[in-house]
Amino acid sequence: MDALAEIRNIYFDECDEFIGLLEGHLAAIGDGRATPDDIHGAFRAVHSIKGGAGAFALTELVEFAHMFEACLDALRSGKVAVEDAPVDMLLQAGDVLNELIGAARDGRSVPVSPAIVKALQAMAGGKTAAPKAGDEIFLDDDEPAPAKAGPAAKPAASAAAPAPAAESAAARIKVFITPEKEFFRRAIDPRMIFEALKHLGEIEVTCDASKVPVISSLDPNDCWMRWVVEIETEQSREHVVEALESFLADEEYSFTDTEAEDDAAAGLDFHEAPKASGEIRSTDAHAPDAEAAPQGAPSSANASAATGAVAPPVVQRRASGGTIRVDLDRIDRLMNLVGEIVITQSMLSERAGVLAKREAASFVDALFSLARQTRELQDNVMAVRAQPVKVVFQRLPRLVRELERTLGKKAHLVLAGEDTEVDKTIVEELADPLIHMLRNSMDHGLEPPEERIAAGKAPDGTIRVSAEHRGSRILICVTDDGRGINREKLIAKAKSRGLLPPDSEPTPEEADNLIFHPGLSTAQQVTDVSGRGVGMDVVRRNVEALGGRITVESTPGRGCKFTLGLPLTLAVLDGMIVRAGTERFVFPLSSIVETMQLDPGSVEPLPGGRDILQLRGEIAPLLKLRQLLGIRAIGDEPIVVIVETETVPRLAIAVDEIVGQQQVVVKNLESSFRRVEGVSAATILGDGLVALILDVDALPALSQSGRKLPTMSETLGVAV
Amino acid sequence: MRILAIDDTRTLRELLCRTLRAASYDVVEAENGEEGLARFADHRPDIVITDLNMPVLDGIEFTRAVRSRADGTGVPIIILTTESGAEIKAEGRKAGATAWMVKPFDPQRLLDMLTRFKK
Repeated sequence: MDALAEIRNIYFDECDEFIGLLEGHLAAIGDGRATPDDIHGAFRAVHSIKGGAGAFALTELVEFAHMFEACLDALRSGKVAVEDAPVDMLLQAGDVLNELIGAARDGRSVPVSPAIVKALQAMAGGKTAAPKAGDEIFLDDDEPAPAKAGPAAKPAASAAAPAPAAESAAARIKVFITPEKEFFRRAIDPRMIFEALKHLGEIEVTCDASKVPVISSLDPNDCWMRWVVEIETEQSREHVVEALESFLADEEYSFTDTEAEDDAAAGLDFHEAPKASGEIRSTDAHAPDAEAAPQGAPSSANASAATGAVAPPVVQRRASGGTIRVDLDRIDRLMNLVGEIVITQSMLSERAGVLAKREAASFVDALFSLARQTRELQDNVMAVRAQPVKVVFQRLPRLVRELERTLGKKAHLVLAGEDTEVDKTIVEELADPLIHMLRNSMDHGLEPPEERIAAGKAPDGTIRVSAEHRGSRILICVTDDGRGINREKLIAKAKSRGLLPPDSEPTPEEADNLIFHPGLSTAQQVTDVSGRGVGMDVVRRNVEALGGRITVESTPGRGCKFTLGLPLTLAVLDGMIVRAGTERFVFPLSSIVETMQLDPGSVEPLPGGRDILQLRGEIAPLLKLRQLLGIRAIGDEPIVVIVETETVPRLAIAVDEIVGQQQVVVKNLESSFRRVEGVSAATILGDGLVALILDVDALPALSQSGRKLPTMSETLGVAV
Repeated sequence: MRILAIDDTRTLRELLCRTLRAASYDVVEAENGEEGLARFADHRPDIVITDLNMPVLDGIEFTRAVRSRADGTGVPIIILTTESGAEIKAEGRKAGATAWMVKPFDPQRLLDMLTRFKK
């Protein structure tokens, strides 16, 4: 069934969220900074996982979650003091839970270690000792609860009455319904109960209104009535219980006339009430009883106005609205539409230029408003997609604890800027690189305690992970106070592997950035934490694929700082549109440092056909966009755009013209075409034509290699 | 007939809402009791189905709050929960809950119950 499969997927997605929350809360408990919210939150996360698992009949998951939940409940209820919580065991249980979820998702089954089960049971204090823990909570709807099925479970007065065993064919079962006075305040219409019983067979209802007081002293909200229902049924008494127990408390129904006995025994005061209406007999349940009920029932349809008068004041609720969940797909569609509007709007702007002056003025005004509103619309849609990086950060304390154990090091984790928001897709992509960076810092950065003491540092290392907005990017920094990068070793290794020419002398920055090189790892031995040498280069590749960059700054002996910069969104970017020959290109505005007229006097040719631009005493390699494209033209390109790239701090790119600056909608090429070196994506400009968005970080390498940028038709494989 | 469905677990809410929508009920969703109260005021549901264990405002508190509203006394509230203890059920009744159903719910049974409220 399609719909069910879909809900299943939602469930498993939700499980991931719950696991994340759970770990965050458990970590807080472990650090001794737990608030009651953490304990409740942890409980609720497991509880919710269990609830969903029950819906999909994932028995193993239900059983384990139930045990786990019982432990958290022990914390919640104070049976186990929070300070004494065996956090490691709970974290481990979280892992097992996660594994079970993963297994359930794939339809597999995984064994659960008896040790953890035992530990959980010990903590919960035998509460979960029942071998099939799930069953006591999930009463199967097909099997009515046997424990409270019979009158044996009823008050003592009825205990004497012989309880007939399971009925044979078409027995007559008599039920005494004796509601509490507050019955109608539960918005129950007795007809609901009769209807439920009617499912079982023919019924005959007798209403006893003898205890209804005189009208002058009657509160219409009180229930003074009792009913006797005789059911002609082939079903067992258990089914009757099942039909009743949804609505009635155990004390409110019985299979023997306890009321008469009770009245006699207790001498209840409503004996004084005069008999109001006597008995109403009926063989059809709902019609006559519909008349009987209104005696005192504000029936479900309309509450009497009088109730309002006596009702306590309405509970105050916060004025701020609630939240809803929306499919990401829907927001994506919205975002796409906004993108289309941005394009249409720039098309309109372009057309405005050809209008007669008189008409143009008011048109342009309207266009400005449209542009502003479009921008606002886009910001708002983006805000919908934004999530705080906390979602990822909250997983880190846990990771550090684990690494501490594995590596035998101590580290103090400091988190900052957890509320920094970024597009949901970016948040998701953030986790892997961040975890890798943290692992790297723990494993390679921080020294063992002895070594730290010898170096005059505190035995515990400090790792700081921070997030902040910088322009249209988010910057995530992972800073450690460890030994820093061992440059000599890195250079030596790079040379021995032929990654660097033997006689080269890389700058400190270049040396440090070698750690992003595929196949380089300076760890003495490969550890299972981060020593496989496939780490940082993969991180870098993934980050770059997102239009981000990662850099490292190291101070030998003092520590190391990884900086991860990512765009806030992948959907739009502010771009500068330039022309080279007949083609137009887009530079991401975030990488542009400045633009200027090209002064031919400041260009110095280097051997090999390359040029250098003198830039206020500094030098920048100069690329010519036409040349990159293989366009032959007379004369120099008159404009230079100075961009900042990852490898070259200042890169000058000569172009023919700056066409304008505008927001462009990023259309990914790879999904439709292929990856193109030097091009990160494409966009549609105001005139409806396509322009390529340049990947400035790839340009220096492209130019050095002598390869050319592809033209539009080459890129798209079609004539444009 | 309009039903307000409250559950903080998305999966269960989804399951519940789809069941109800498939049976042509007009469904209003809420993620917790507080949101449920706001929806209650805005949408005037004929029936409420709520989870018990929820953040912000739980099912019992929600029920109590609805019952204290002038327009909330006659609306049946079904508590749909994994809890089946007598104590918690009594607390629910005291707050004003109409019926109690134990999760995981059997869609047919729930729909059966709802048809009884319809009349």
